[in-house]
Amino acid sequence: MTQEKSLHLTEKEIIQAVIDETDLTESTHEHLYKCHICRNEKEGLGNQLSRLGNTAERLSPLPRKSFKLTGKDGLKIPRFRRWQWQSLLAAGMAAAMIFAVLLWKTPFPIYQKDREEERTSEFVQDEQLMADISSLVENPLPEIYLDLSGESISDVSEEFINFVIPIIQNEVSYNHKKEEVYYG
Amino acid sequence: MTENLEKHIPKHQEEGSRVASAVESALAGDRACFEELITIYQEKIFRMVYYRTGSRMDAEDLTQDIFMKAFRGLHTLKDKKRFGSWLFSIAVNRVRDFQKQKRLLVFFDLERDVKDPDTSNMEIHDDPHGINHLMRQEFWGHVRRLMEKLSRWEREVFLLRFLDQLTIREIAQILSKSESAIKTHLYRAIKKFKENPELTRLLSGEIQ
Repeated sequence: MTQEKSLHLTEKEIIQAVIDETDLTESTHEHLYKCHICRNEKEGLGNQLSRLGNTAERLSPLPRKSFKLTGKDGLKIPRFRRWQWQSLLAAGMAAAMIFAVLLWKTPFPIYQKDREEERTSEFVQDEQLMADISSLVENPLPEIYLDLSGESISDVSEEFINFVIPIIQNEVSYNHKKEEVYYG
Repeated sequence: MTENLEKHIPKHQEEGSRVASAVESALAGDRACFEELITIYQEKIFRMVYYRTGSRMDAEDLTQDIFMKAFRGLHTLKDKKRFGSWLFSIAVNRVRDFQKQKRLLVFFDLERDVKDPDTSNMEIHDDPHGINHLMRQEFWGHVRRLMEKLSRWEREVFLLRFLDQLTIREIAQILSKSESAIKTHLYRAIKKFKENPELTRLLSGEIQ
């Protein structure tokens, strides 16, 4: 008897059976058909719920007037339905994208000319930049420091400097000696 | 007008196909056929709105509005056989909007919140038998208390299933949810319904 009681449907299963019997497992379904206690419980709950609907219907007032369409306009059927607008929009966007891709890839003469001009100006800018970098490598000091460093007279020829500041002979002979020692 | 209707909708047709052919004719611009659709659905929609608003006057205004909305938007209906579900989904959304507006008005104290259905003088005059009026008041009081215990979705699903008596599939279409989600909400709602002894006793006929 205890075993039979334990086989009865739980509250959850009874509610599930009221909602949709096909959701029950095969064994539960089978039990529901065999066991009058579970069947009564399920039918009781089902009846209460249908009575709720019927009572609500019975205790509701009726509308005092019947409903009618107001205004004299007929049903407005739009020339283009919404899905047509959507597909038109999608087609338009696709066409615009294809046009943009073609514009980018196809060498139209007018755009090619523009691009060549652009490349030339970029080349000139690059050259200028390289020249600036080279001059900085040669002499990184700003112009204001060139007089102090003596670099500002680098353009003056060596002969002119020798004329203004003659070479001291001892130094030369010393240098010669040194060279002789070195190579000797 | 009746002749016109009979020409379009033979009486022997079942309601489903009758509705579908009426929808087709209405789409072609036949107002009379749409009015036939109104005749078929007006009580169901009116009751559906009444269950949620508890006011006959609001239910009348909203039902009229729902049919006008449906008429204007009929061309958006994809499947003519699903006119009923489509109409109910318009009604559900319209009632939801109405309740939002009402909550705002009540919040700003611009309107008094009338919760009890059928308590206006008009309803009492409509009902010559006092006992019926008391029963009505008691019943709707219990229903309202049950509804207050349910979440928004549980309430909507429970009302659509047991008061509007729609199928689970129809409810899923109306609320744009899966059938299993509808069953889950329904399970929770029924559990709470079972925990409400006064209403269950009333329905079992213990309270006279």
